[in-house]
Amino acid sequence: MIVWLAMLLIAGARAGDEDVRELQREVAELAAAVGRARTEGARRQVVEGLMASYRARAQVLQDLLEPLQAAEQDERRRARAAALTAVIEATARGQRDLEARQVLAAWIGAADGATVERLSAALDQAEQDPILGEALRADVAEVAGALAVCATYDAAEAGRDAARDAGRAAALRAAARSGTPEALEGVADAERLEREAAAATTRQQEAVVVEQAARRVEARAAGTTP
Amino acid sequence: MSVTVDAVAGARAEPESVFEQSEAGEVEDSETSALVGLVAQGRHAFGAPWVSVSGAAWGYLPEGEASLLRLEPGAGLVLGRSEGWHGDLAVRYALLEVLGFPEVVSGRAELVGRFGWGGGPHRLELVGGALDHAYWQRPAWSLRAAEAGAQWRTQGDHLATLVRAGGQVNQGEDDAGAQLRTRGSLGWTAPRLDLALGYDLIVATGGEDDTVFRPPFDPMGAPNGDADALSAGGFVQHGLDLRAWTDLGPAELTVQARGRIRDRGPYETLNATVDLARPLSDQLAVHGLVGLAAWRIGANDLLDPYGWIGLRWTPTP
Repeated sequence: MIVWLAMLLIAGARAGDEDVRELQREVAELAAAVGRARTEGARRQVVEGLMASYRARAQVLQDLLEPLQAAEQDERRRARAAALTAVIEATARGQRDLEARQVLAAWIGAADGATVERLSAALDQAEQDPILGEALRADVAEVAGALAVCATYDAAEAGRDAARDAGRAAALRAAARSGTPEALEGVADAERLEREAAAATTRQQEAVVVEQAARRVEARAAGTTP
Repeated sequence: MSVTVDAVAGARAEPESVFEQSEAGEVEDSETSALVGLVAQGRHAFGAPWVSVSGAAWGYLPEGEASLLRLEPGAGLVLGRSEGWHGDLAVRYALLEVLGFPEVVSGRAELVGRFGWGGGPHRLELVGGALDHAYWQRPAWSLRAAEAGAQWRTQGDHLATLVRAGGQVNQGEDDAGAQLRTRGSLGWTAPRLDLALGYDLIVATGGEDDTVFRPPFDPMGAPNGDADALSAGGFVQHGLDLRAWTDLGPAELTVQARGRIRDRGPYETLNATVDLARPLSDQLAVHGLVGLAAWRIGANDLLDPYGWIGLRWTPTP
């Protein structure tokens, strides 16, 4: 655990501004809301309204981040901040950004329950450390925030996969109900698509659990929860 | 377990068209008939394996000559996920009995399989299939065929594409034939919307000359793939099909069409259906369908519009 945290420290992670992190969380949640609306096929006006709310707060965040990023000497931290922004933007637009997602994966590891547990355990240790405690808590908060952003992106991606596969399967089933049997290959396609839609829904639910757990760790590390 | 039961009533212009032909394909006009139908479908997946059974009874009034019963059990396997190694296998048997036309009672067994590898949006697959359609009282219509090929599919967030090429061998009552089969298709999926457009090309050689007429549609008006399975002395056939489905919220709309044209002929067929379903409750929906089956084969033309409206019951488990 200490080794893992030390690696984060060596890699240059350090405390970020609390206001920035809070705003980043808000922007990520707004992005997730737009992504969900797109996946669910909400009306254009609804999506545009949510997108406008997201854009407004994302602009405030960018205005805050720009001077910080300009002053940032560490190239890796600049790349991570840019990747974080790109992943949030991709979530809002209902698109993939594999490159940005890989940058974050290289930083925080897999966006799964094991990573959340490691962060939580690191936080336990930080709370016992009178010397490095504050710095470690800030690092955990930063990583947990990034993890939550990744999990939100993963949930949105899995949700889109599930909706797409379920939609195609529904179309094939509907075609088969039009009075005559569907070609056998279409039946096999529908079976596979339904199974993959169910698997994507499970992935989405797991990512939501990770996102919520990461947010709890982030809040605990930032001292915003009792 | 998923079950759907449809009870419908409607009318059809040429209910006996599929059965009332001479060997040369001459079609006698039949009178527009009222029709009633009861169609039940059930399926269940046990993880990788799945089973299904479909039963249908269609009755024409007042004479009921072309009324038919169909029973279709099926089963299959879904192996692996599309990312990585994967396979699909499906078998189905269809038993069809037509009241008043015992000579076209038939049994049709079909098998399809594919095995492939997928990475990112790409899937490369080997595909194969076989069918055996036996008309016990009319062996001139019986046929067997086997097909193998390869296909490349891509699947993005919205766009899906497929390119396939393969070979097929077929056996009619006496002669054997072979076919080169290619297909390309494009699909687009967005929330509550799915569109698919496909083109296929069949280059057939060998087989019996097309002196035995084979119905281009199945008894309920849908395109009959068996009509393409035999090489019939050789032909080049182009086929175009489309499917559009949308969930409009209060209703679900499905539009399908398929047309084909052969260089030997004239041989032109078209089938199109529009199906609208509107839920009345969690388990009950009203749905209606209008369809058209049309063909021009040799000197014979046929226009067979049909339609029905009914209730769909989907009991929740």
